[in-house]
Amino acid sequence: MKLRIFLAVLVGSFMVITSCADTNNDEDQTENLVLVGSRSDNGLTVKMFTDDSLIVGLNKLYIRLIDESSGEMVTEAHITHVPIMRMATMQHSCPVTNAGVQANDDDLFESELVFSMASGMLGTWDDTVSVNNELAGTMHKVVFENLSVMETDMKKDLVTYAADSNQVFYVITLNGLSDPQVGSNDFTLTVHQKTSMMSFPEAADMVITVDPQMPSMGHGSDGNIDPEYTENGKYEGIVTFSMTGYWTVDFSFAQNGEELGTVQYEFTL
Amino acid sequence: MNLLYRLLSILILGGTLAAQSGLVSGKITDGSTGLPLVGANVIIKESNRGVASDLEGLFSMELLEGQYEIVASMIGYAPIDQKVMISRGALTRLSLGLQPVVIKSKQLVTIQGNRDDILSHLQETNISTTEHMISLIEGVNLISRGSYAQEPIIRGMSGGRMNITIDGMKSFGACTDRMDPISSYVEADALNSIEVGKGALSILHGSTVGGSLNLTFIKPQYANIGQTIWRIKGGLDTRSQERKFSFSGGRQLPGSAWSLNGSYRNAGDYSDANDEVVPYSGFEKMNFHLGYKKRIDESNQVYAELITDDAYDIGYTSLPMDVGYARLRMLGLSLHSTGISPALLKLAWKVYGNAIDHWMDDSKREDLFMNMHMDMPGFTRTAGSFVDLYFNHSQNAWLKFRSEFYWTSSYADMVMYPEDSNEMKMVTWPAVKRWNFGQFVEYQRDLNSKTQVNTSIRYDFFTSKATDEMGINELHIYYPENDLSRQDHLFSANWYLAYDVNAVWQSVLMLASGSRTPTVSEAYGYYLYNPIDGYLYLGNPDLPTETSKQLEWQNRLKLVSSIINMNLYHYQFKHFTFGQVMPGESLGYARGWKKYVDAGQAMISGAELSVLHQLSSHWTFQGGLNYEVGSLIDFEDNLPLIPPLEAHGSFKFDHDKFWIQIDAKGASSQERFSELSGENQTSGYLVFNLRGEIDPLEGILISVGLNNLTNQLYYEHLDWGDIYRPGRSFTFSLALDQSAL
Repeated sequence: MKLRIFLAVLVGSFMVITSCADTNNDEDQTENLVLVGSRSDNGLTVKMFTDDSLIVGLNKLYIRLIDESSGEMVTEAHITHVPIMRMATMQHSCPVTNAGVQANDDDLFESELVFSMASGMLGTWDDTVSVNNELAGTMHKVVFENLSVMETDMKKDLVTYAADSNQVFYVITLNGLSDPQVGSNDFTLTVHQKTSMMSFPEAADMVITVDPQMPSMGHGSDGNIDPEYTENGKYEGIVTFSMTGYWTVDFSFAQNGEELGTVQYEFTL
Repeated sequence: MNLLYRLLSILILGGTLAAQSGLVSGKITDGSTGLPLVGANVIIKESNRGVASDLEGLFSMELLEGQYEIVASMIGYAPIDQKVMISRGALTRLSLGLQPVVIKSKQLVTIQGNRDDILSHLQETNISTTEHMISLIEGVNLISRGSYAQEPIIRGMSGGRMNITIDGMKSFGACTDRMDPISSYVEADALNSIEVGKGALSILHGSTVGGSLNLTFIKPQYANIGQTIWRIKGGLDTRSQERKFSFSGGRQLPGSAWSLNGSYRNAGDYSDANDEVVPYSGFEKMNFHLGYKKRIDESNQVYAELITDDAYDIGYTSLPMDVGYARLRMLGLSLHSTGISPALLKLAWKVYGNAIDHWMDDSKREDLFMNMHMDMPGFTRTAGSFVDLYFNHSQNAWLKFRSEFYWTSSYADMVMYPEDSNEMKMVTWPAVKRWNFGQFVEYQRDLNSKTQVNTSIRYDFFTSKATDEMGINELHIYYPENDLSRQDHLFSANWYLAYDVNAVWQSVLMLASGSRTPTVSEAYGYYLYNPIDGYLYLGNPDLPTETSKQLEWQNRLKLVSSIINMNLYHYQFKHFTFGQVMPGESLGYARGWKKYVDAGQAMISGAELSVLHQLSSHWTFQGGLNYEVGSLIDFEDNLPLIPPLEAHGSFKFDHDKFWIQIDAKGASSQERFSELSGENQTSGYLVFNLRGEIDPLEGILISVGLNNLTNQLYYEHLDWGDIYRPGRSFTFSLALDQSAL
């Protein structure tokens, strides 16, 4: 019994110490967000946060701006992300949806980036963030180098051929199914067309169907809802898994009545 | 010459019998309860003449004056010898109380609210199973999925439409495919009685639309002088090579008694009339019942019982899977008080708990369903309590109350093991927790010497909810907004008026209103495959309460040597629960999905006739005829599981030391089958059986049976998968008890 009390005291004091350490920089620990990095340019501190870690697929990036002279947060500005994958022989960007002019209630500017590959041997991601603070009349530019983007298999390319025989690439990502459960699962697909190495506009006019299948059973599941377009290249739907085991999920894409193709994801529940 | 003279003198004496004879009459009762014994044998030792006691336990015989030794006997009771003196023109009255012996081979069937006493005359051999004895009751059939654990069905209503209890205790099968009806947990050797209620005419054991079946175990008996009793029995059947061993024993003392019944059965695959082996029809089973009774004082006693049942490798021919094991553990404790006050005659309080574990698998199968192994484990846990109070309201009226509470939890899942991929699991019963509170009241009153009225009402409150997270998520695929909990308020009532039209004819008019709550499968089941219609079934938590209205007219003729019962009945259902095909494509191994829905109106109408006729002092005829039709009115189909026209009859020869019986059972073809349920037309059949028992020496009983004498190749309409019944077989058993030594 004595030992147990002793251990409890020990654990308790440890928690006090660690939580004290945490409170030192509350600007870096906002809600459950993770600080990616902090840069400074011309009297403005630019902090970048993300939800968990940066992954291949849809990511939310949160920017906090702090005026270094006043210590006040800047809540109105134009923010532009330019992510670049730097490889030995080439470089390219990825789909981006920049945040609006107003920061959210937590004084964060929320943008979305769809990383199309992981950081690693082939190359690394840099994100150049430009800030146009119209109220103060200042422009700032900071670079977050060597972003650590983790591999997932949630991103696919859909390649199709246009009438003039040009290849058309779409970057497709599937989000919300990192931990799929038996039952109904909400998911978000992002669809962006690659018009150049640096340009990935959203594809908002896709007709998408979802078809989960269990090869071992020879059938799929009921209650699926085909994804519907919401905003910024995102389509939201529901996929159901009727039991655990190995599943494939096919997404079929059509545009203007023309079948573009199908991408398949695999899951083991 | 001498012989002729004697024959002549007998004829002459016969002619003048009335003048020189006297009458002996009497009443035979159960010495422990005082209740009349029906069908007991009364034999004059000197002449071997005999009669059977009637429904009131009464008998009478005309005898020449002289001294006789009268033997009253009934299987299950110790016989009594009594010397009587018959005087010319005089009436000699006897009152014979037979003491029950712990070990009975005769099973009593009581019909609640039905007054059908013919069944108590049924005599079955030592080899009979519980299921067989249940099936002998008029209007009760069995749904057979193999040679084991057939499911009782009353007038076409089974499963959640009826309640099956053991000594009043609720317990619930743990198999999603209903392979373990509760009746499979009571072995024939330990069975004391089967109490049947048809439709909502009996609501003591719960609100119901279809009826109730309460199986009671043999209880230990006190004895004035301490004694130890035992019996061992061994038997076999040639068709299935079933070997059966059982043991019954106990210690009887003036103030306490205990009893132990145990049995072991082991059967291989049986073969049909063409000697084709019916694969996966064997099983192995062990059952124990331990009872202890203690008298606290003059009016109070306690009773404790422990029941265990373990079955292994149970084959289910008509299904793609077998059962690896099925296990029951059941404990009951009760207190009985009598004569508490002049008004409160009796009080009984019982607490109980039970656990059933059931494991279906296909590890013994060669042809695998969907080419992969699968397991389907399930379990239920139940605990509850009830209090019964019997009040003497007046000279000719009484009141009975039961207050009841129970809790039960049901969980089942299914795991499939594909060869080339990861295992696949789903929850098929999402750990459904259910609470019930029930209140029952019955009042009976004799309006006059000819008229009796009886009224029962019952209220039940149920609250149920799914608690397993994965199971909830599965059901949310189909019911996204549903919280998967439900409350049911059930009201059931019945009323009957019994009128003695004259000395031989009694007519009873009965009205009943029943209701029931959906079963776990009906409300919360998921992915339940039904091999009969080939669909996967989905529960529906929004099902309304199914209700019934029942009208029944029973007539009983009690003639000098026969009893004739005739019942006419009609049930009208509302919100009848039925599986409806859901839109969607075939899944390959299954034709698609069916969901339990409110199928609107349904009805069942039928008639039952049963006859008991004492042909002579040795010969008895017992027969019956049943017919019913059922329709699912709004779905324009017949109801499933409705038996065709059925008839049975048996002639029995009873002698002092032996009896022999030939019985016939037949059914017409069933053309009114339920197409929506995947049924098909079945042919008629007629089978004969021969049974008999002899006790050649004190304490030894030999039972023999020749079943399916004509080696008919047949199956019944309620047999799943059209699997043929066993061909001609011979059964034999030998029992020894303590008096043999």
